[in-house]
Amino acid sequence: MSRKSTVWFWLVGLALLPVGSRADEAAFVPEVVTVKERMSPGTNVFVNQMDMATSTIYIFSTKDLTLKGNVSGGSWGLATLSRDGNTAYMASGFLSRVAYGTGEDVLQIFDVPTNTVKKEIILPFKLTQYTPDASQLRLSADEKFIYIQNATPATSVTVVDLEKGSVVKEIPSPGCYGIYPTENGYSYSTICSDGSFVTFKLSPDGQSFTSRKSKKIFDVDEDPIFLASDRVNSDLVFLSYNGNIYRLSDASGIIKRVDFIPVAKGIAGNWGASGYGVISYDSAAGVMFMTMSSNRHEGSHHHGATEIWAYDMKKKKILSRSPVKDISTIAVVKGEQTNLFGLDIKKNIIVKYDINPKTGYSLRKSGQRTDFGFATMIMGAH
Amino acid sequence: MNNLLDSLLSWVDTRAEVRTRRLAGRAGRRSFLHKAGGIFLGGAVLPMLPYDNSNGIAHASDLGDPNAIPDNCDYWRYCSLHGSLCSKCGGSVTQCPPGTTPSKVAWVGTCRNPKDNKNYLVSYNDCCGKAGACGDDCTRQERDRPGYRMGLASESSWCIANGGSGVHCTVAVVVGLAE
Repeated sequence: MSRKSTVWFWLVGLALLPVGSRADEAAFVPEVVTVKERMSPGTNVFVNQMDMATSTIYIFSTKDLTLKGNVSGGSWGLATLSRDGNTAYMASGFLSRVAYGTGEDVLQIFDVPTNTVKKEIILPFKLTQYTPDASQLRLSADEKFIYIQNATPATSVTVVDLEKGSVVKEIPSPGCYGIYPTENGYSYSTICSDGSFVTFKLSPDGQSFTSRKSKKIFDVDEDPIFLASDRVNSDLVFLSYNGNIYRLSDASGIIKRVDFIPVAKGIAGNWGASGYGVISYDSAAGVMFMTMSSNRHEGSHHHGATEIWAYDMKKKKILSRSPVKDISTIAVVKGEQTNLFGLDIKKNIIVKYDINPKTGYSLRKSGQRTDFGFATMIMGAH
Repeated sequence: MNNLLDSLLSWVDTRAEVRTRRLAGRAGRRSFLHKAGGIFLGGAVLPMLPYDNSNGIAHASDLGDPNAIPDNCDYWRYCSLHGSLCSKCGGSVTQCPPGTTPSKVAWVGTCRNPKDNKNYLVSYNDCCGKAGACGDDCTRQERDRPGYRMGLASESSWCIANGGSGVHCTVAVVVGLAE
């Protein structure tokens, strides 16, 4: 190519370049930031992670433990769910300077599908600051009232009317802790320092109450029970440090002992219950799952479990003992199928287990996920 | 109305504490607890601690020099501790770090000193009002009980009595003999 031709080649090329750029611009569609309005569909399993500043409820898919969303509140977050799993509640504290300053306790009500705050209700500044357990924040059977555990350390329960959106009562319960609502009406029981229970019955407007104290149910010194509980048919069930099941009835307005089952008795290895959310009942199967550890000793009751036992509540026998590692909280959650989920207290992992009825409801790990810190609560829709 | 309720709660809490002490006094090997009742209201007595009520039996040397106590969860006086050691946070085994406030109330453990094979009452006060992680958590929690026996509940923050301020670390103050 001659020098003259080369010059013409470049001149024509440069002249056409803007045309090409405009053509590209016409084809290019710039992206715009939007908000995904709703979480992806499907059933969920919830993990409540307590924090001294910002507590968070993480929401995972029951199918593959994909993180679908979360909602968050303040310090020492207590949490619960509506029966359908579409509303989450968190009671937590907010200090004006996070670690100090003036304080405010708030009940937040979240719409789960959109992860948004629906309502806030200011609470008396007395909320318990305690490792979260389901027994500290509970809904009444019809979800009209929510009961909230206080400890300053003087213990009481704040009653919030969710229809009115306001606090309606504070019920003193000295020496007692934990909230266990009845299956009907506006009553709840609480565990007391002498091993008895007190059952409170509220009026329909929540403005007045009566109470009845049970006989001694358990020995606080020799066989203390965990705060964790579950329902078996209509009975309340607790598990003790020593691995004993206490089956109680609250149907008559006062707690009565229905049964006592020394599950670990006679089994070599000094077994006992271990963890936080130590029991969960598969009602369709009639099987209670329990987090258990051997070589138990004073102080080992909150360690992670080394086995999960499946116990037939009707036949009163151990069906299987599945080895696990450091699981401290368990929950049976129904998704596409019924699974057991567990929290690994050392690695902050949620583990999904498949349940095999053919092998005594033994467990097989089928997934795991970590996106959170110290957590002691797993929740699911009922 | 709120003041009335607060007064009522304060009264019932005091009553519960008295009842708890009486109950503990009758409860076998936990009879040491009646001696610990006073430190449930630990804010008032904390400046005086540690004190010696052992009539000369428990010498300071048996308890260990506070400045020479190992930063190790296995050390005897940490038997029921649940939290970060203040000795690793700028304080000591009996001193809250600068800029914090001791919790007005505490949970109580009973720990055996291998030097003299005696059981001692140990008050675990949280130090409150600062954030910031320090040291490793100790979680021995021997004789820990759930919130229904609050005086032994190491899962509770004890900064709740200080206006709910943040927990920074925990001290382990020997306050008496358990036997």
